[in-house]
Amino acid sequence: MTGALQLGVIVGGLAAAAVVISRPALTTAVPRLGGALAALTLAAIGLLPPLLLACAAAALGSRPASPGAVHPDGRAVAGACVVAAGPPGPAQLVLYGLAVALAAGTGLAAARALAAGRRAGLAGRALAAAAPRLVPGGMTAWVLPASQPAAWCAGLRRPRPVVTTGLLDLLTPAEQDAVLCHEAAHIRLGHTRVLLAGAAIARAYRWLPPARLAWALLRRDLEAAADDEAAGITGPGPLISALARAALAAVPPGTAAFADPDDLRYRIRRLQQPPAGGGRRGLALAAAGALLTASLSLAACQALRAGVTWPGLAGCLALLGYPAWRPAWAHPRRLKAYPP
Amino acid sequence: MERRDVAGTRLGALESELLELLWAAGQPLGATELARRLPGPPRAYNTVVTVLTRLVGKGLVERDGDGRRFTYRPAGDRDELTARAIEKLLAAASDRRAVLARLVTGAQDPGLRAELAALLRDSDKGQGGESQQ
Repeated sequence: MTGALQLGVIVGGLAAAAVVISRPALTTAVPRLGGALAALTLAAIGLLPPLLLACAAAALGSRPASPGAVHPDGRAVAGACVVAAGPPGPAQLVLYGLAVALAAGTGLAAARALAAGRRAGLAGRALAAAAPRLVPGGMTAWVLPASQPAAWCAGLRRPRPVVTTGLLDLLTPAEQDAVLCHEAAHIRLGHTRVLLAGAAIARAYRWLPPARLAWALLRRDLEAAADDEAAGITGPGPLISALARAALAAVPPGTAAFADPDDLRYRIRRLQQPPAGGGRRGLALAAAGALLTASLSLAACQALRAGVTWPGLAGCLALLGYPAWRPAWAHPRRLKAYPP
Repeated sequence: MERRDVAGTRLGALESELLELLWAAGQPLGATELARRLPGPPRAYNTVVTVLTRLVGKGLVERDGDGRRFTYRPAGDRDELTARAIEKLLAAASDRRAVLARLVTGAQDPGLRAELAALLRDSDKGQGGESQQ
């Protein structure tokens, strides 16, 4: 593949991402695609800055050190611009240092998110105290005997919906099922891992406005996608009232409120009036997502020094594309009819 | 390794045996005494101390002593330990960074609360009307 074409694909993918995250109304009818695009955008934000800095450092290194001196091998530098030829100068060291610092910041945020996620997993005495409950979609949720109203996806390796008796007591049976279906949909669509990775990158780059936009879009669209799944099983009515009752429930002081008020309003409005016209938007977003995936794969290939051969490109594509696209393609039709 | 559920924590056989011994004893015990009371083949003192330290780390056992001689006692009875584990889990699940797919509870925004309350009033009224028909 020629350099100009590669550059075109990379820039085109980033431009598509910029359009989508700056106009979140585009994804209202197709939250699954919106979520995939937001996840890919966050991956780009996590990947590209360190890579660009390393490239800049390598480019500096490829210049002749003193006027008239001939650089031994410019091609090695141009091919995989992570390691420059020749001994690094001070400017190069600074750029490499920045690249390493950015990558390390992302790694640290990921490690912290992983540790926090592990703590929130259901295990030990709490697991023994919990009672299993079948979710209409065919998954087992755990009911935790606790008065504080809460429902979440617990665990990293084998996530399961966990709901407290305090929350179930507030809801009618249909509303209980709606909440459990919503949490189960997060798990079936693979949201927990995408959210974890996204949270780590968004945290590491919280000073960067595009990262904040992509993170907000990711959270909103994954919630909307899970809402759609749950509404498909129980109907929108029980889910709307369950969301309202849960949001109004009192929590102990000091517990973080998990709501951006506008997000909850957006979700309820979507459920009341399902957005129409997903077909063409979906096609356009899928095309944008494909371009962004290709763009990221090219960049990742450079980073991994896999070279831009077709097998290398396919490997990078699978590595990056699978987790980000899984929420979009996971099929909802394995669900059984409700009520049984 | 054989693992048993003791008060709901998945523990190794030796860990659960030690915890059972401490519950049965009703008083703090030293590692030597615990090693003597263990059923089955004799265990090395170091092994017992290692396992006790792990139990302390898991918050199931508490250690008292002056740095030369330690005694161990259970951190609570079975119910207490379970209640504490649930409390800890709920606290961890309230960490905004940890649990991202979490249902919204405890909304603070007054405007939003008013809107949601109105929404629920309408839907309850609607359901009441239907059931009367």
